Amino acid sequence: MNLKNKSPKALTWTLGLTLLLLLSIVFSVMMGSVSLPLPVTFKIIANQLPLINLDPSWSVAQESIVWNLRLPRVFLALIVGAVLATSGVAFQGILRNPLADPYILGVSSGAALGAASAILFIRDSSVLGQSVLPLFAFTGGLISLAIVFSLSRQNGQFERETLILAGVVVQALLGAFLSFLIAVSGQQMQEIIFWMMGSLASSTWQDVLILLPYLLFGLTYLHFQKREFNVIALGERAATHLGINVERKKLAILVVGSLLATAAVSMVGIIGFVGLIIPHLMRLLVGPDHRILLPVSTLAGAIFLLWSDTIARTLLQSQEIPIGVITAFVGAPFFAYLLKSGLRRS
Amino acid sequence: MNLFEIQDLNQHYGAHAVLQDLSLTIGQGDMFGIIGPNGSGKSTLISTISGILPPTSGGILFNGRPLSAYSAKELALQIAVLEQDGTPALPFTVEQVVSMGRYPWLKPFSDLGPHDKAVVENILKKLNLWPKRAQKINTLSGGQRQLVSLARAMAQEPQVLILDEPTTYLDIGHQLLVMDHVRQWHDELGISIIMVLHDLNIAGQYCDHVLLLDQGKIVTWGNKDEVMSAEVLAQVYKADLVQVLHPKLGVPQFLLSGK
Repeated sequence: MNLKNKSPKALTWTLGLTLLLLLSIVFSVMMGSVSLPLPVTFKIIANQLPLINLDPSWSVAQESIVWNLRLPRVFLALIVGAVLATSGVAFQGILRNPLADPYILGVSSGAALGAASAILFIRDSSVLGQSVLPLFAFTGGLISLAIVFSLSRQNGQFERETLILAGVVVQALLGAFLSFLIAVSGQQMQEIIFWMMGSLASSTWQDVLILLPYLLFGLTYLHFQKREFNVIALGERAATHLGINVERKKLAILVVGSLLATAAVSMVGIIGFVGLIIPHLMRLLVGPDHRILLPVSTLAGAIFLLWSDTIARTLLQSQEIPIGVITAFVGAPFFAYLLKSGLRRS
Repeated sequence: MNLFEIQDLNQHYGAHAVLQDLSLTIGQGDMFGIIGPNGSGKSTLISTISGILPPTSGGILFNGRPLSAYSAKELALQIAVLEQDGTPALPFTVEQVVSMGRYPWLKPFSDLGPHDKAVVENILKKLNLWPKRAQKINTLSGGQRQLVSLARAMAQEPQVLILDEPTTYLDIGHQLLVMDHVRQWHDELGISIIMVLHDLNIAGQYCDHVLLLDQGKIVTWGNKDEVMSAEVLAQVYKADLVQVLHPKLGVPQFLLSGK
């Protein structure tokens, strides 16, 4: 990263949030039904890093809790949070609509329908087992994305309003299918509904590894479009006059953003609010310049979802709370406060 | 070589013909005005020659080469366009918005270099925007925001500046300020200016050549003094006009006489 060119503000925010992220990892791993002391947690994590070899002063059970149970879940939360927040910034930027979020083109409805189909028709009768569900959800998301694009394409162009309306239409239709499936699902109803509310429970390193390429590819691509996001904020015609092929750029960014969201949803279910409020929150804090907004939103999304998941798994002794409940419960009032104070300032 | 050579240009929206059989040339270094009543196709013509709207039929040569052969990037290096609605009221600072004018000149994935920053600083100072550089443009008046838009276009360092009604929403002070900057820029750097104007007196004062459009067709075009006569304009605009000679500048000016 070119630090020399960065404004002090960007540098402060990026470094501050990175530090907060690292601290959050350690503290979140400490917390749970078995709470671990800070030094032990720290040593177990450090011992996994290359070139560090510590004498194990901890039990095998403790190491297993940290390494096999909590760390994969922590990293999955970080990845999903980063993915949703970054793709939220991208959607709001390219559609220039404050209500845009990563699910606006209907990928979550498509994924939910795919997941419900897998739960109802395939999984129990298949040797493939658990791995079918994410695959079905991902395919469902892609199909709904394809429908939205084919509906909104006119003369080779995608108008922002048409895209959003096509997303609404497809969501409504797929929602009807989904409600029907849920209504006739019988004893699997609870499983479908719990999947839709989102959960990071029983995350494994394998889940992390599946999602990681999307994160790396999508984030790299979107982070290279920072200046384009700024110029497109001036309007599509103005951006064209500045030499951007807006239609091509818009399509590429929406496809990448939707792919990220679909991948995340198919692994952990529909986690709302992150992709909507983190971009707004960071825009209120650091301003509209995507050169700062995009990286800080990635970091903030990761931190936000990590703490939401930590609360989801530790708040109640007996059971987990769906993470979507936490993101909305924490996010909505906080957002309302920011909205109010932000409006008063300007 | 002419800047623009337009031959039998037609522009249709569906079955509706917005421009019909336009043929004209625009010279290098010209201050070229496009006038005509509402709905005469002025903005469509601007969109077409700026490369945003491909023509239904007809040919446009820009610097001797077909306009359609230029990429968006190549055009952005030569043509800057000031849209009618200008810059939206965003919380970007004045300096950020003006810096975006450098976008076509930047290498892929890189930010503004020292030269780009010098260009931006120079322009901000020239337009007296330097003290306001950290101010957000959503806090500026319409007139100030138009100056910022002009500064952004200047930062693009184009050969051609196209303006779509640059003075429509401005008070008279800002109208003259914007137009004087445009003319000064034209005089100093020899760039070509093409502008759609509603105000006939501004057109009479600032243009060398004028194109008069009515219902998508050319009424007349050429030297300002020949095109701008009260008789023709009154007919096209369906308004009674009295032509006078500007006592100080010696250019055609028009007084409105309502019924």
